[in-house]
Amino acid sequence: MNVQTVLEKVEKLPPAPAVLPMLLRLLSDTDSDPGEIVGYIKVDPSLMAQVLKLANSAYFGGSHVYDLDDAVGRIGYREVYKLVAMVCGREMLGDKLPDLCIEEGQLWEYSLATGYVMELLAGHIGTDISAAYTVGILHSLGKVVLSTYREFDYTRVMDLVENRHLPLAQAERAIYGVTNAQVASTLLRKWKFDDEVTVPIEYQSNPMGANEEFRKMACMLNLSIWTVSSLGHNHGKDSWAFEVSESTVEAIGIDDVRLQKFIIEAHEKLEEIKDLLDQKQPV
Amino acid sequence: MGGAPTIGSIFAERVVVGVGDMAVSNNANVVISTYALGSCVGIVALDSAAKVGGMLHIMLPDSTLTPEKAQRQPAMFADTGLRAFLKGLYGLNANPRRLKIFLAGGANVLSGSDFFKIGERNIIAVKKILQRERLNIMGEDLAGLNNRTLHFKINTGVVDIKLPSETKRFTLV
Repeated sequence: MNVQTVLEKVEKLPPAPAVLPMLLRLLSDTDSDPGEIVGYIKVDPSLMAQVLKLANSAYFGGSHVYDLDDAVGRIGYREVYKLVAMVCGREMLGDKLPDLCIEEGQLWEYSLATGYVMELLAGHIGTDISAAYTVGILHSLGKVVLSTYREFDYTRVMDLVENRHLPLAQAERAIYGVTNAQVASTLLRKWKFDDEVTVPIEYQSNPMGANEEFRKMACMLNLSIWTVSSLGHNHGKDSWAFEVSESTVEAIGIDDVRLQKFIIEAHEKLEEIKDLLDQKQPV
Repeated sequence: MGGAPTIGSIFAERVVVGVGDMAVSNNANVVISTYALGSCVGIVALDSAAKVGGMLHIMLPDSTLTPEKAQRQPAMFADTGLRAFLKGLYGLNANPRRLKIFLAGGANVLSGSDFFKIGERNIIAVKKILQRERLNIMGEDLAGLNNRTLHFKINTGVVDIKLPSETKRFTLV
């Protein structure tokens, strides 16, 4: 089995978030035209409606916004981008994955938590916050694809994880020759996401294997997965079946004390977001 | 009247303990739950004679990491959390000699250095304090690769441990 075969033969691919890679590119370009950013979102009325609904939630301040220009004026382009990523991510990652014992909405909750922890880490390290958030949100997309591929059986993979104590990626490769991280990165490349998103996702379980330009982001993802798992937000049978090494934290420049303090900070951030998103059910 | 609800079940009250939080009660109808213990450790305690029970959900082993945080939220750490938890139980007339303890949680990453084994460090810290206090650990479901959710009924002493693919049961009496 190879990644191309999976993507060609799988019956149902998640809906492509066409607007996300374009918005991410525009956000990183300081010369981009603000009107162009709003224009991309307005093309999809359903997306725009959901973005506005979320923009009116307590998390984003609570006062009413009536159109996208209002939303951009009040919360800024970066936050509007996060709203779009939230809406797209929820659509792609909301289903249950029975073979991994992941209930409806749990993969999405985990992915959103990883997105916010990546954002927090990016703020400390000084890397691109929007790219970090996107990497966190989309890094588990491959599990969704492989779970719907008839020839891929996660129960066989989990047998190997549980009985031989192999990390999920190694067990996937041992049985089928592909990993969910490879599937996610290949699909995202097909959807026109840049290397700053696809490379860290591909190397999420082996971040030191990523090329130098994107190694730090891959290490951040590896550490964020561990942090989110520590806090109990990574659901399912595979929630702890991954590897993390000291090279990861060395590459980021964090010691044991800072790591534990970061867990507390991440917990407080996620609680704050959960409280605010729970005040209204916006989407 | 077969299958009719009991008075106790009608008045059952559910208390949810969050991360770095705790609850103690002498109301036998209380059900205490905590969700998704990852590397955190959940400590369940019961004095069945006094009908006093409680649950603590600690996140990290040692409060010296950040004393100001420990002062605001003692239940976050094993040392300050257990001190506050036992004080709460004894305040409701639980007797340390009758107190029975169940531990769950402390999952660890499959492959990684000790640096990342916060779950293991939490377990060691909690057990060390409980042993020092000469408290009776009756059962445990610790470490491993799974998150756990706990539901504890004070009146029966039953602890349900929900894992992704199964539910285990332990009775603290």
